[in-house]
Amino acid sequence: MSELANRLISFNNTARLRLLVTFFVALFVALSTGCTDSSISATAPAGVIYCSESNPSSFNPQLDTSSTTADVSAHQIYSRLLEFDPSTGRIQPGLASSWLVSDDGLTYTFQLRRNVKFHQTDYFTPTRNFNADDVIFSFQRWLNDDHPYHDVNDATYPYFSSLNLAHTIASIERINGYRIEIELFERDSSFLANLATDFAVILSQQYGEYLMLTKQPERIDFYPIGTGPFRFDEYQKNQFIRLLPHLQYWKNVPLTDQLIYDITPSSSIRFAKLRTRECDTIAYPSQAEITIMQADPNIVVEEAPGLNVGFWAFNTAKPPFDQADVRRGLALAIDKNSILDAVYFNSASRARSLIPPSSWAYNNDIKEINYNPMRARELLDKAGIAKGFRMTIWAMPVVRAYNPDALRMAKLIKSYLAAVDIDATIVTYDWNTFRDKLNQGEHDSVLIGWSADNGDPDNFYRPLLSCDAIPSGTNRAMWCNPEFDALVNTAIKISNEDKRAILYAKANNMIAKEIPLLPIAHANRYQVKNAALQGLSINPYGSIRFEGVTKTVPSPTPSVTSSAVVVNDEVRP
Amino acid sequence: MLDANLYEEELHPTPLMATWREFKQRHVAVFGLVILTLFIIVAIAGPVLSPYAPTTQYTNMLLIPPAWDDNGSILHVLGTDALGRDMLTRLFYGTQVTLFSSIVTVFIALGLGVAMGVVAGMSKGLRSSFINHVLDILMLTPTLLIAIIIVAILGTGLTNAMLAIGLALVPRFVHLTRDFVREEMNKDYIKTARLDGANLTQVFLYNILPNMVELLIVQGTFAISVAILDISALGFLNLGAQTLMPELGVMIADGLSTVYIAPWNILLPGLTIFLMVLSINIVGDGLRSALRNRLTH
Amino acid sequence: MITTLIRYFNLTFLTLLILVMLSFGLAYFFPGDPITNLMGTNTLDSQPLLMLTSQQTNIFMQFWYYVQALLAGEWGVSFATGKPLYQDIMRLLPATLELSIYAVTIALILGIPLGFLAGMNYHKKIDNIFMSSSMIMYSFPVFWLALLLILLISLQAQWLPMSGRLSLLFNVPHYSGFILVDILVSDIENKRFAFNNALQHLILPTLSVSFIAFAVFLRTTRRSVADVLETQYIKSAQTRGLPGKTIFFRHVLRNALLPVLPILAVQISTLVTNVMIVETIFSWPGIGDWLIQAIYERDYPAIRTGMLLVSVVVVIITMSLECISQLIDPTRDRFAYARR
Repeated sequence: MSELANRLISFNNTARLRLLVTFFVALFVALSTGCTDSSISATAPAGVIYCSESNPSSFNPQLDTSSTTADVSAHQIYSRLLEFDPSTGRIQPGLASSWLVSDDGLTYTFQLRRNVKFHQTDYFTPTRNFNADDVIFSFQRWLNDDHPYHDVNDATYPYFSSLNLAHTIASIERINGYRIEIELFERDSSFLANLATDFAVILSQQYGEYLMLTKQPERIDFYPIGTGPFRFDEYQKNQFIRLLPHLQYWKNVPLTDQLIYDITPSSSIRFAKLRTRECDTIAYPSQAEITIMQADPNIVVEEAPGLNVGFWAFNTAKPPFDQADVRRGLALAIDKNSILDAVYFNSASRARSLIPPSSWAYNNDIKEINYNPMRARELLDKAGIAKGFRMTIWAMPVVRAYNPDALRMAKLIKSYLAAVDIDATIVTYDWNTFRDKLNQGEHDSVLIGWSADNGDPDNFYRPLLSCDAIPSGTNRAMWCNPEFDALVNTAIKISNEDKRAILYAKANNMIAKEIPLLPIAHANRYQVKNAALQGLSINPYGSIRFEGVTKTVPSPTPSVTSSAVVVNDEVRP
Repeated sequence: MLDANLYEEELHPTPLMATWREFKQRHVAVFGLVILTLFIIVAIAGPVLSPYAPTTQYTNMLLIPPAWDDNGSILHVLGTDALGRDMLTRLFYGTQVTLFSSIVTVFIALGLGVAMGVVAGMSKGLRSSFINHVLDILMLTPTLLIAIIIVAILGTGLTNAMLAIGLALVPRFVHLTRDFVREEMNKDYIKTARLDGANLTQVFLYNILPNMVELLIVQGTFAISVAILDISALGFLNLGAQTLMPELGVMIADGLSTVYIAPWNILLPGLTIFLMVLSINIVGDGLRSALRNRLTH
Repeated sequence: MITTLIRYFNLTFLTLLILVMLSFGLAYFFPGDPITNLMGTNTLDSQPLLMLTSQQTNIFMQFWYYVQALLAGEWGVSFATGKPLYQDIMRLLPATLELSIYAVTIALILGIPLGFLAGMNYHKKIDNIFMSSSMIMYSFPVFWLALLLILLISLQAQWLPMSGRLSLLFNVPHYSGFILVDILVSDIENKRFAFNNALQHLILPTLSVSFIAFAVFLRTTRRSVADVLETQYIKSAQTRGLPGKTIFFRHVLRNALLPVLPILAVQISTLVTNVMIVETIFSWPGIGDWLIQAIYERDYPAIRTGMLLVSVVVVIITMSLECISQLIDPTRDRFAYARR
């Protein structure tokens, strides 16, 4: 056979080889025209890409406390009456150009800004400017059970119900087209701060009416219309969200040509995309990679102390976790320091109470739990927990500032519990399913946390541990203690910070004694971005803001313009 | 006197010896066999050989690179992962899990496939064609889809992954067996046996099966390599073995979260899978060539 | 020939029917209410679906209405998004098809000629090189290969992007679903840049899948060529003195290519599995990634319908290939897949 093959080869070999070589050369040439080093950014159209970490549950932050939803819509699509200054935390005018508080602290009068235009998209064209009707519409939606939009999309309003604002606000009155008056039942020193949070957005009443007429009210939360710097263009689940600039935005700031949210659940892939410049900035950079990012000249790393807390909450509605001794025993079994090391990579500080040290309500002399497995086992025995007791630890699947890797933390806790003969199972689902099941109380314990929405310490206590916060879903410990509620409810009525601090100190001690949850860490907030991105700063009081953010693109040809769109020259206060 | 012992010393190799002699001549194949044996030893004796336990977390030695790197340590020769678990140990246990689950899967698929193939090969008509048809569909469906369906019905887990892969492998063996049986049934020696009064079962057990064994071994070897790739792929996708089990695909998925600062967490388990599959393929290929050539030399 | 066609048509139809039955039956096997598993919700307003959910229908009628609904394009809604499945699947399927087609094409264009080369030089040095390299190539786990490519080429060298089909800054309107076609027919500016960008995104995923497929095709072709070279008719052609070129083109080529076709058919299912895995690693927006997300979220209508679609596509392609090979060579027994 080899002889035959020889004869055949003599023809085949050379001709075929030649063919192959020409083919490979052609392929190489074709590939190399596409492969130049900076070709990824230099030839793309202008815009900013943000790698976000999961899908938003809707486009209305009123309906959800999840920061994923707020990241997309709170500061991009909507505005609110008041805003926080990101560097000082002071309250600034938003859609309300000025306001007055009456002497008894019960009446708030807001003067609204004129000439503010709503978005115009291919699904809605507004025919009037923003006025008091829109404010009434937005507030009544969650205040008033009979409002036509109150139950649209099975809405619950977790932030507002956890603060019980419906029972604090007595009425909202329209004085004239640009003036609103809000009456409270009782004094609330955090009321203004609550109006400046991500969640108190202003919707378009005209859009609401239009949707009612066309019998599609549910679109209000999925095809949103607001007054914010960006308008909604397209959303593909698990893929991307595209926002376009609102050309008639009421503030005079540069806006990028396109704002894209590239949905990337894995934190290491987000980081990789930052390096390959497929993303300009990313959500929740992993602490482990911060040092590498700092070494890259194209990446800018910024750090700021965070107003957040990561904790391990026990489901106090489920026995045996309703016994304080059991909770204390479990808390004694774990070593917080190793968690800070392994999960936070030392970019967080150890949490001794719910509230971080940067807040004025922090008290230094709180009695803290230390790692003591022997004592843990004693307490558990005393409480009647046998060896081999099985429990679940629910670990959230998403990354958050207060907990970058709940799964890893759960694994560490599991091994600590195993050392005291507790058999823990780790449970996780995708984020929306996870939260639904937590709301049903299916968990024994959960690793989760909280990022403050404003600088007021009340924002830590009431949404997390008050009785009202159970139905709204933010009280993961399902804890309802009337004494605690009394303390925090009194505290928000007083405006004197010192007196409030005393009350909060008592609350802290109560939490340390009862341990409905075990605070683990306060994480620093980091922001990493492409060095070409201008105007992006860390917002410790809310979610990310892209107004004023632009990217300088090195353009090879004059036809590719820079990515700034300047809007609306005049802003009248 | 002529020494008559000359003829008695002539060596008549048994088929097995002939195969081995053929196999020996291809050095690559022997090399592959050596590596495969190493893997099998690790898989069996792994728990004894490994320095640590696979689930112990050394929380003060996280993400240590392998010993040959500057930051590495000889305590953990191949480094540690993000939870401080020793990589070498996990590789040992992972090999054990992956290799054993694949072998078990293939054995069961083989058994089922041969049984069904024999029935199909010996019978004629509608029943056989119906079975064939269902199996063909099974064979055409991508393995991942079968796995997804099984996971949707039964949930995740290593056993369910093995079930899915086994299901995907059965048609292959059925076809093989059925073709072989059909071909053999027409041969003279079978006809002789049947004339002698053997019933079908005896014909199969004593006549056909011994001739089929080698074919099955070769095909089984390739099936094991396919099973290893598929089981680790399912582990990687979190549809098979779950995150706390030391399975090689799962280890790669776990290592993804720290890929940039600790690439060995992905490279080493992947390399292990690759070498395992490669050695099995080499051995299988060598076996097949040896079987084909043993009679001609 | 007509009989063959009819036979294959029947076979395909029967197979599709079984697949649809399976898809229907899965609604009962999956946990939860079967009707919800079938259609995604309980509130529907089209004729076949109404009949489906009415209480009086028994299981056979349900199946009949299900088939009607499928053919009408009413595939139900997804648990996760609440949106109709039809739109999602029709948007995603072309992406997977595109990747698969490019991968198969490259694997064929490279694999078959090189396979011939190897087979003609049976057991010589070139053949040994090809055999060893191809064995190494198809021993790679496809997900590890993809990760290696990303590590080396995207992260280390930063030559090519690592996720998606196209930089998200390009807003290319959906026309056919095949990204290169869509870019060419669209009227966006920087069309050339968009095209280049899409090519760059295509390279790594295609490479990961075709790497393994290429190795398999090469080996198969080589074995086939080697087998053909040993046959009597080639030997007799040689003894008759036919020139090598004639022998090759008239005899070897066709006869060696023939057994490759059914092997190709069987390899398609492996290829589709690999494409689906690669899609998750490269965030390629195709059916594979979508199905895997669906299983994580236990989105039963999506899983069932997606599985049905992919199987249908695979079956149709495979059956066509088998039909063609049967037409070309009627002597081949359909059930004897050539041994590898």
